Amino acid sequence: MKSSVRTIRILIVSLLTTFLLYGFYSFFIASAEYPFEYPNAGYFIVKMKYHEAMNDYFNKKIKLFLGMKSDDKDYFPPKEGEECGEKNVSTYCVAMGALDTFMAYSATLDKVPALALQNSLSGKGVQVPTAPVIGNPAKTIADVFSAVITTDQDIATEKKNALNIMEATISSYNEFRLAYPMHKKYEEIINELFNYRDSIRMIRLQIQRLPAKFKDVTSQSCQ
Amino acid sequence: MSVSKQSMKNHKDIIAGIFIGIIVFCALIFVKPMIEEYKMRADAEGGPSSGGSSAVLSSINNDKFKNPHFRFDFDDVFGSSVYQNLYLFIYQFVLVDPEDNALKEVAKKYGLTINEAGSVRDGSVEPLLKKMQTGWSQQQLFDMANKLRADFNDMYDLYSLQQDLTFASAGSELFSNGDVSDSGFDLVYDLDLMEEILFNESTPPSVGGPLDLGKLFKKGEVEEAKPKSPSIDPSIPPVYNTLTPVDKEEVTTSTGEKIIDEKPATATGEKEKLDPTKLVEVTKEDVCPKAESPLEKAMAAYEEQAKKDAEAKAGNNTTGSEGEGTGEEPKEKPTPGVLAPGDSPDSLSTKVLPEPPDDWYRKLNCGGELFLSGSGSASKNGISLGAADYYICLEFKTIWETYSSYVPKTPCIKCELDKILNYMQKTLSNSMTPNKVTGGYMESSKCSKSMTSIPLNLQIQIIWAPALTPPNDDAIYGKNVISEWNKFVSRQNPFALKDIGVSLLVENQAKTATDSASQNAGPNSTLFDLVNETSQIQESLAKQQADAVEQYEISTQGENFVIYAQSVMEEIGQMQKFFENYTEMFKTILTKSCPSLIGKPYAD
Repeated sequence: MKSSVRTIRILIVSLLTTFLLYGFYSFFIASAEYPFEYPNAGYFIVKMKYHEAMNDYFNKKIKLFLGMKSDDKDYFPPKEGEECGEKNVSTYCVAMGALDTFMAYSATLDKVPALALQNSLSGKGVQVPTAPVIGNPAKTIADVFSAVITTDQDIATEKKNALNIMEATISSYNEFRLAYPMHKKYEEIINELFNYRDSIRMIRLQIQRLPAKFKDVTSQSCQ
Repeated sequence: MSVSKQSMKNHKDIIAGIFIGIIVFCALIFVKPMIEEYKMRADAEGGPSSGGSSAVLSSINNDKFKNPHFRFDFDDVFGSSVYQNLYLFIYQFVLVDPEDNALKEVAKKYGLTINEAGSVRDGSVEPLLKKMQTGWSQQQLFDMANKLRADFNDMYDLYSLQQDLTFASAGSELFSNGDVSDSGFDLVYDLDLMEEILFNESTPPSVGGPLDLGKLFKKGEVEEAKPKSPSIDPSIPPVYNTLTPVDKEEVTTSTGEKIIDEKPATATGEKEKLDPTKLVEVTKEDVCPKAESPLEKAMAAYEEQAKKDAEAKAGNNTTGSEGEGTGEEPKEKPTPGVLAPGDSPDSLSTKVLPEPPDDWYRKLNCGGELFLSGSGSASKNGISLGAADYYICLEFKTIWETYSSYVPKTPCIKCELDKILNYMQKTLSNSMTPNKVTGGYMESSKCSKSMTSIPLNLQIQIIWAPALTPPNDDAIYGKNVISEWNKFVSRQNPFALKDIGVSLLVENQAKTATDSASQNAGPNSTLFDLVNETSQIQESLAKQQADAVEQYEISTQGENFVIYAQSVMEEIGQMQKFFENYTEMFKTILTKSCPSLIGKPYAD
């Protein structure tokens, strides 16, 4: 009986300790803020997760934007000295958030091991530029250097491409953010014009019933 | 003693628990990345078979993208009201589309399929082995593969540049190029809709046009596949489905009265010819006095003479014949008011004939023949012709028709106004002034010539009070002056220029730059260095100023438009109330003031 009580006591204390430490670690120390910050997973997987994360980020911002009123505080950039909140949908804050994500991606790419790039590519079934005709060439020091250089080039190209796509998306988001409220206002005006037209139509339907033939009346103009 | 032992045991348990907790925590820290990486690899399993940019699309955790050939279209992003996956769409536009196009071009050039060309690009020479002639050396195959890769890279660069340029130019007009097929909504299309509602016309946009996707089809195919004019495009994006439907055949008024309107057009832009004869009455009789002309005078004299002759002849002829040369049997007329023998007194009423109405307008009895002058005894149909040497009878009639422009069947604001004008013209083409009244003092009869008649027959006309026009009719666009002034003061601070480090004024810029350069100048600085430093600081301040102005313009631009749109909508709403008043006024006229009009059949 006593031993079971002790076991339970130790178990409770260990669980509490684990939760406390892990919570503290996750909240204050953990560096993996984004789902792609696992360089050991390989270049391709990191790349895929980054673009997925960016897509989710913009989806979230657009969803927030569509559900927000134009007089909302988060609709505009923060005032000087204030920080962008999670819900702010101004182009400035969206661009800042995207830039943070990109910087994290760039840092993660720098940590991707050179050989992991090749391994991850091979692991994904992608054919590495080698000579497949007659066997595989022997791995030499030159091959390793070549692989490292290729990795660096690919990562540099990927960084450039990712930056271009991010800029283009922010530009499109900005266009969307400017045009969409105008479109909504135009929609309201169009609906009002429909009502306007129908009101005039009601007058016309009444006027249409006025007679045209009269007895014993003169013409309005001298013939 | 036992208590202290128990306490010691408890402490040991707690320490052991903490220790175990730390171990578990450390294990979690080390294991978690491995778990995450394992999960990421597991997610990526079964993903793309190609290492190109398109692989990212098909690797993303979405069932839609699992197809390796899946490509986004504008409708996938802008076709719904949620506008999701914008980033992936741009990704495809910037990276995947140039790759697809380049691969297609290279495959065509080397006689390979797109998949085979992709394999060669990724390092395999197997597709080339199958295609090429036998007897090729390994080096030749490698050279061929390298050439294909080089061609691919060249094509990719070209297509990539094309996409960049396209996006840089047309991308900024995505929502204002007059085409809804590339963006889901379009501001120019909105304006087109307004134009159609107002005028039933749609002016094609002179700029913009659909954004060429530049994918696996040529430009012409894109334009053919996506109609330029959205008004004829049957696939209008669902975002426009919320708008009010165009027309109804049966209209229910605000009071619940149902009125059947004319049938709406079967197709947009169809027009009907307005038949003016349905709207306008042709005046058959000329009731207004005309200035006397010699011809009319002669004709009047002739009429009078002919009437006198006819009466004289009728008085003399008691036995029978009705005039010379007619050959007609005289009609026996009962003597009014005299009972014949044998008649009952009740038959008197049947014999009492009403007085014939005054035939004040006698039509000319002309056969259209030319009579030469006679010696005074000639006659035609019992009418003496001695009064005139000769005459010509001409038949004439006045035709008065008003032709209006074509009125389209599709209802629009201008069309409705045109119809109202036509119907009102139809009604008002007649004056309510009674016929044959020449008009008295203060009367508005246009044909009245005398202004000195005694006003015994004064006509009193009721003029309906005009409906009130909306106040500030001209000022549909405006802003709150006080808020604008406050904004100006808070942003520009015009009363405290000296307190600001960097003012927007140019002279203050120069002063600030000089002060700053003087402070930064070292003991060995020359005058040239100082001038250079001043110029650089001044340039920097000018850039800041330009940025500030630009930011101000951007921030006020949207604000102004919202205020403008609000003003326009308020104006339209006000005008609707205005029209409702008019409708009520016409109803009052038809039901209370002139209720007999309501029994009139519906207008033709």
